[in-house]
Amino acid sequence: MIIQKIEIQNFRSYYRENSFELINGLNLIIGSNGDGKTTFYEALEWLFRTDGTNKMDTKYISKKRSEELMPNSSDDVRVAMTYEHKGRTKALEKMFHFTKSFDGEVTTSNYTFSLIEGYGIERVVKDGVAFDKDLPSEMRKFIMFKGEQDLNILEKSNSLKQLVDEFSEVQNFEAYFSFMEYATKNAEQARDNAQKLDKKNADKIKGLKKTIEQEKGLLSDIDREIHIKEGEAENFEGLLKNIEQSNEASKLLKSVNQRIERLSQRRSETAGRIKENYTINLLDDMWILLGFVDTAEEYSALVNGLMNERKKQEDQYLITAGVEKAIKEAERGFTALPAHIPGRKIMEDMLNEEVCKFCGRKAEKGTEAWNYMYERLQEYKASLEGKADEGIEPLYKNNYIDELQKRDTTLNDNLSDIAKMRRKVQEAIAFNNRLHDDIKKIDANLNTEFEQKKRILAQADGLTEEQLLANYDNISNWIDKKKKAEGRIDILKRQREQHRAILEEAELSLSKTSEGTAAEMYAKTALIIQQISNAFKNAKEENKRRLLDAIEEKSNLFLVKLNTNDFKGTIRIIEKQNGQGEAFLMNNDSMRIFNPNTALKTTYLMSILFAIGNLSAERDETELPLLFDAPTSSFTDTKENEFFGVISGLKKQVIIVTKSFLRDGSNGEAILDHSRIEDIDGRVFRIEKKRPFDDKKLGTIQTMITKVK
Amino acid sequence: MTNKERMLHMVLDDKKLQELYDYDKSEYEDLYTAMNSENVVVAAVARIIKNLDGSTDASDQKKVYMTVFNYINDNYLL
Repeated sequence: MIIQKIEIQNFRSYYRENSFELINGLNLIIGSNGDGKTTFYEALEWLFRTDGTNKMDTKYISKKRSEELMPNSSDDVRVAMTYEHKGRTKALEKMFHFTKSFDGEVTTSNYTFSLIEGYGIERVVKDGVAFDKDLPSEMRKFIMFKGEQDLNILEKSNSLKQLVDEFSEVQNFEAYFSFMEYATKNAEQARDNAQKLDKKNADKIKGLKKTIEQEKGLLSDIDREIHIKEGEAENFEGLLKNIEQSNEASKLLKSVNQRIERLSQRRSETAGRIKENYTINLLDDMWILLGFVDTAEEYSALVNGLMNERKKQEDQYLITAGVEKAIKEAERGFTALPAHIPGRKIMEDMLNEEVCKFCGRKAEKGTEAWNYMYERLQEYKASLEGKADEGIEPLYKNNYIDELQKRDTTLNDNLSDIAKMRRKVQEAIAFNNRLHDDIKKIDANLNTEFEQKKRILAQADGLTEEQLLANYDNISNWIDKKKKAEGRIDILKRQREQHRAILEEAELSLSKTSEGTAAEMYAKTALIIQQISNAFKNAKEENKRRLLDAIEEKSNLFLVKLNTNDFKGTIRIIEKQNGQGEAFLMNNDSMRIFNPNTALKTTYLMSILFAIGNLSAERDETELPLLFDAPTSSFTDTKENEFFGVISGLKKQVIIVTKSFLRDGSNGEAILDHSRIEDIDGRVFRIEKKRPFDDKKLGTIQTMITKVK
Repeated sequence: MTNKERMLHMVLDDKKLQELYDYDKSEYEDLYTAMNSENVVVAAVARIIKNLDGSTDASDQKKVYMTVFNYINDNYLL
């Protein structure tokens, strides 16, 4: 099938009539975001829909066209495709009418879907559903792909069966398989009926039939258990492969979590040691006094000043008063110092030393001599006191300054305590600051660990933290279970072989039991039909295996072409236990490659699609076109050029809508890179929004098409 | 080569069947040759493929079964 022309009329951004004339080869439709690429793809999806759904919908109508329509006037939404298939040219056309009422409401009507064959008087118009014969609806998933994530067709349920149905070497095995079951059952019934007449061997036949029935039952049970165990082993294999893939991440995550836990605990302990209830310390521990040291010192200075001033004034006063007194004394006559008194200091020394320093004799305490000296000293002291009392009046009669001084002394005592307290406060604050610094360091470490954790989780292929940790915990458990399942499968397979041999022997014996009897031929016929049935069953499996081998072989040829200068690995395609297909890449050491980069993944999945297309051409003698919406978004420019170069050399119709080959212009507009387009061997269209347009008004959006090459 | 011929080859390729009924599969390129084979099993397989014609209809199955059953009954030498 070759698509020659696609026409899109009033379909969303495709205002009025638009057409794309395509070639049998590479067709590129290049547009930036919002230029109508996906609309082009969706127009074809709508056209190809043969199930009768989504016939008419106002969402398909060009907003620009519907807004400009005069009241009570109408137009059509139409998508059509002209194509050549097996030497005949046909046109598939889907359209509906839309009318704008006087109150501005748009309604739809007159839906038609037609397949037109021939021209002029030979023109035949059929229901569009007939298009299914040229492109069966189940085939469309093998030719139309939206984005890179849509390329893995084997992930889609039932795909493998459809692949086998559509592309295998031998088709329609199912009908024959079903017939052989019917034929075997009837042939066995005929044999059984005939053997009923054989009275002689009745017991032997009965015993053999019982054996056959038992063996069939056992084989059925064994097959069922093998199926279950293979499913289990496959499941654990898959889980372990996923773990293998994420095992490193699981280990790292576990270790990061442990470090985070330790750091968090340390942080909590450190924070707990910080005591910063300074308000309480201010009052309870009198830290507030630290603020009054200056005041106390100022007070002390003032009191000292006062003391000095008083002393000065008193000295002056005493001198003045002393002179006056001396004058009075002189007027009265001098007071003679007792001749027997040597002076207070000497007398006190003599008393203390218990010796008379005048005569040199001893005067022990309590002796007459010592008592004499003591009395003389007391006399002297009394004489001094009497004179003082009689002496000069003090200048300051009150003790206020003394009181102030006493307080100063107390304050000085407190100041020495405050000095100690200051050290304590400084130490307490320094300690807390050190703890704060420690917390900062812990926080920095914690941040590093959290960043590391984020990186691990971001690259864990969508696995959550819980899944990663569970994987880590489960690994040994799963290995055991997988081994156990595989061990059981081996045992079951051996048992199956044994029981198959017993069954075969019993069936042969049953056939031979009838030798020489009327039932002999029936028994032999039933046996032959059973054996032919087995051959059909094996052929059906072989057919599937050959298809997968063929796809694999062809895919790898395409993979080599699409990755000339890159690592590529080898594509493997297998049937999983659940009947679904699976494609993956293998390294040369037969190890599976998990997570190939997106460009490699895209190319290997595309290689499979090209291989299937190739097989389709071989089987049906017609190539189907491939239609991709943005398949190369992960490719580099070089990779993209290589890729399109390979596709243009495939001699296959490929239609790709893409925003590749565009670069930013000076005004921020997307400009077509003509130098790169030069290298493309194929047809190139540029689609873009007609300018100017209002970015808030859908009714101003119109896709313009330019044929570039 | 038609689908039926490809199916014939694939069924006749069965090792067990070859071993039991001693035929050379390379001798049977097309359905016509296989249907006219002296080997009853080869001819029966060819008849199944040709006469059933991919039908899943019960009456077609019955008709083909009777044809094949009678053919084997009539032609297989004990």
